[in-house]
Amino acid sequence: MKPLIRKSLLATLFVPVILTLSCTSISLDSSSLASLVTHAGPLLASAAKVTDAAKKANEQFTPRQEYYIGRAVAADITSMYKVEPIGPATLYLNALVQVLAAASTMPVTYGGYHVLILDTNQINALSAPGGFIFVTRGLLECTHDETSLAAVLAHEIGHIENRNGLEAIKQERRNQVFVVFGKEVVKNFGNQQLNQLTDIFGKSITDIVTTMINDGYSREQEKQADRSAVEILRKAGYNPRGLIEMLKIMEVRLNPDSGGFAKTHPSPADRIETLAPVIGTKATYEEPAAWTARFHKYMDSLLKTS
Amino acid sequence: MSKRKICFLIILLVGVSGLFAAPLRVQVQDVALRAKPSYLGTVLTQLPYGSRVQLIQSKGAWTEVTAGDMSGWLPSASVSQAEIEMNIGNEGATTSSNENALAGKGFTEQIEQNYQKERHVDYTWVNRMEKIQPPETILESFVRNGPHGDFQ
Repeated sequence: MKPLIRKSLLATLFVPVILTLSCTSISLDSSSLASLVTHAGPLLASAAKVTDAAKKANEQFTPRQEYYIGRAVAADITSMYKVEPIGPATLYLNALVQVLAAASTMPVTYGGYHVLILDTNQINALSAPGGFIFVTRGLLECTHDETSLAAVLAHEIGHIENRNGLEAIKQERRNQVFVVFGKEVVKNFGNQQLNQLTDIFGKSITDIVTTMINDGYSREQEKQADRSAVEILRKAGYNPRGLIEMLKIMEVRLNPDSGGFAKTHPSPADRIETLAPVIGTKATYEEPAAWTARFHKYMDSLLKTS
Repeated sequence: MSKRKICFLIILLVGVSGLFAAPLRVQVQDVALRAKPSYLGTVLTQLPYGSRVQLIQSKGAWTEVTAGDMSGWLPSASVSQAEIEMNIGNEGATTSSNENALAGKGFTEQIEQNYQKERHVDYTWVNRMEKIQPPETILESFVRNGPHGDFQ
């Protein structure tokens, strides 16, 4: 075989390999981290290295892992609140969330986006990782058309796409997860390992729920969720001023001592001020009559009984 | 054409075909393969978690793939180039060391079952919530009356 042709044939064998390697570089991070600890043994478990690796591991919760975390958080939330039976309003919210999610930076999650209404006059909304959203009847009363209702859901989708729930898991837990996962790599856990992981799982869920219910996300995370909401509303086709409108109604209705939103979120006035450079402070807008009619068709039965 | 040029073309063609044939896996529970890059596109088939597809092209939030003898579009976020956790018995599951590592890495269904049993956690509403399907009448209303994207 002539040298040039032989070189070319060799190159044809290697080019796809090189290209494949470059294409799979994303996977190398997550898998190599796990195998690194697996094969390198206890020496690698020095605090600094574990902390650094755990940071990376946290960034690599897969959509499926996020889903199981979200399900457990959602189970906690539904045990704390009375859930509104599934009726026209819940079905409408579940259709609307699909429209909005499609306009987000996280249009699909492992198990999809779902919404339940919590039967309480408290003004609040909660979102669990992976797409589980809860809105109270009290918050829904701060909306009067589809655009302002979309703003409520868009803010919650913002928390999900920014992965604020996962960020609430304490560093200590992330380190433990990484060490346990790295110790032994098996498809079915032994009892001891299973119990250890279940314990870490339970504590991680408590971290998230405590942050959401008692402490609230940071002001920066709330601002970021509002900014995400503006982008989602715009991209979906809603006037982002619907968010200002909803916040202005909330400002009137919200009792600062009532807990819920008042305790875990910046004040509506602060949020409006933060949004001002982006969308102004005016709440005036018009939405197509068909949207308002749709809002009343599905929401009135719920809101009129409040 | 000179031999040098032929050789260059061979390298280029194989390289490009390698790019276009990049393997991907579905990383969500199930996803609709659509005829066009839009949530309104006709659903050709549903692809379950772990399905292997071949990349044709990526176009923003949508990725064109072939799945078996069909080709269509998937939301880009529904597929991954990374190796994903597979359960034993998952169709198409491989047992590479990376996948084994990831199989033992995540919070899995096994952890959830143990957590549910140990803590007596009630998942009734969560399971009910996941089964909610908005009726066609509501979805059609959104298709017919909007919003239709990009607020002006």
